Amino acid sequence: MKIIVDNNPIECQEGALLIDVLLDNNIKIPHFCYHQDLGADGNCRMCMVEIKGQKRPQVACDTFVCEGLEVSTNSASINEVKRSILELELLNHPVDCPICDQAGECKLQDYYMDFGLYESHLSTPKTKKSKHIDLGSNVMLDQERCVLCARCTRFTTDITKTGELGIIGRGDQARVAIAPGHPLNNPYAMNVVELCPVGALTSKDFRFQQRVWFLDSAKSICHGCSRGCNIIIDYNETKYTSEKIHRFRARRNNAINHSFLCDYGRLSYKELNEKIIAAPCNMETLKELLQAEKKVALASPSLSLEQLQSIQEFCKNYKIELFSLPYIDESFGDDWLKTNDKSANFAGVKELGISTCQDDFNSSFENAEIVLNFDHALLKQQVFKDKTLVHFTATPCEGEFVFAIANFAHENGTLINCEGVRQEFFGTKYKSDAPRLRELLEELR
Amino acid sequence: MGTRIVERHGNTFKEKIYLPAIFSGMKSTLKHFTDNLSDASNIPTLCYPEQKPTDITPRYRGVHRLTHRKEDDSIACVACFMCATACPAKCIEIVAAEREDGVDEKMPKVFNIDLLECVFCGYCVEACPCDAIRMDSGIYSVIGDKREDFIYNKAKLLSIKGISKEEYSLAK
Repeated sequence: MKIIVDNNPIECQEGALLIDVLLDNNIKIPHFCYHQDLGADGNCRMCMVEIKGQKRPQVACDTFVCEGLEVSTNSASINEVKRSILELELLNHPVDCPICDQAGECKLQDYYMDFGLYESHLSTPKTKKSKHIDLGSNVMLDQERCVLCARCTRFTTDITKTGELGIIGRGDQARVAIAPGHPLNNPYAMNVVELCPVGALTSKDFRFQQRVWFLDSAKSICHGCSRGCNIIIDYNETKYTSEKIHRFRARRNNAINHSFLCDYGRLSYKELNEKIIAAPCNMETLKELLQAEKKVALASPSLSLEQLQSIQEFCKNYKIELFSLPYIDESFGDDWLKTNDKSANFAGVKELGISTCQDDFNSSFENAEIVLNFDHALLKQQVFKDKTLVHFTATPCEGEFVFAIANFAHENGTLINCEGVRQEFFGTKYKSDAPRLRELLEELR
Repeated sequence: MGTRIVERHGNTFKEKIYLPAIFSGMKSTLKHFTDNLSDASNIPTLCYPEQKPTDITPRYRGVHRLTHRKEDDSIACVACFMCATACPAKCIEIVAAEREDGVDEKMPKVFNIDLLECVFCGYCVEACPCDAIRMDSGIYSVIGDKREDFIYNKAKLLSIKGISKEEYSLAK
């Protein structure tokens, strides 16, 4: 089926929402309340379009496409309509962009520059509301910046079903709020920060850390559990600071996480910033150690397929028994994104045929003189007197033989998630201080 | 845009022989020479540093300063990073922090300007939405004996006084 948008024919599915068709075809359509994973609410009226044959402008989020639909999104008259609506939305806005973390990725700023550029008609003082309210779960609320799109309240009502947020008051006194004594408290709460199209909800964790236009982005996959949620790593290196990862954002993937992330995964970027202090290790000593008779290796199930393959090859060359054990945490999973298996690539381990039997590992471990630990958390904390442990680690770890390796933010690779979906992830543009695991193993061959 | 054809100068006979232009240039030179020779006190050069310039106006782009708020004399800067973004030399280092005194939400914890890297273009002043950074200090000479002396920190920048009428930040 074809519709015509701004004189260009566009292929689309019958009965689809017009705004979805426009968004999927990268046609600029301003919107606050509509979100592809929250559905339409129709309260902001920003997505007005002109439809041939209809007297008045229509909202694209409540228009279903039909054969021969002719839509205009960018004419002078429709832009005038959008400008008026935007002025209404911005009427009581405090315009405190200099101190707002959303500045740079704010829809109000974008739309104002696209078709706003008006002088405010407001002659009375602006309505004052509360600012910097801590809602709990790392979320900060600024009621003055809010456009009442209700994305956040719809998220807590429809998706997490915890209902902490609501809109109270009427007219220009309407504002997002929590009930007294009932802070935002659910394991997905920080999604509201990302859902908020303006600076009303900001992250306490990211608060005042960076201006967003200084950030670079890398497409990656969360390594927090076996769901494999798609993320964007926001990082930078400036003249005065070394490379640092500042936040994870959800990357839309309809098959897995839609546009959402759990707070655990979202905050797991912090361990990627930890510096590994490893004593400089001598490759020759390691090669000598590898001459021992009884050797066993344990590989983390969060390593990528490519890394696991090179470990497999390495172990074959040196005749080392290779195992991998999952990180099972029965209290972690839930019925949505989180899974009990906190390893990112356990399905990949199984696909490569690496032994995952706990008993076999235990008996081999008992007899082994040399234990190679490829970033597995199990062996990092423990000290064994009669064995020599060699750690290849991406997190801080103590021991005699510690080789620092690059973490997943500095690696490209492939993971298989719990549903068998194979996904690629990419590292940042900077090189890690530590070498990549595959380079190390190459050197040891 | 259409093309506009500009007539090339220097095609007349008078221009081609050069001499009239050279003589008129020499006339100016000779005039200055005789003027200065007859009255040395009027030579428009200064024996710097014994003599100091007297014509430094508030518009002169001198060393930066951070302004204060009129209400409570506190720092006007809200660490929005506009100056650091506009800076072509990337000589401004800012670390933002939460402001605890209730006057505002945000302020710089660290605000350093490396005057050795600064090109004194004034973009930071233009970019500032809070009138928090100005170059109206009238300071045209900075002296130090090590590199660190030229990195002006927040306290130093706040302590510099301006020579313009407006002492405080004019931001609303």
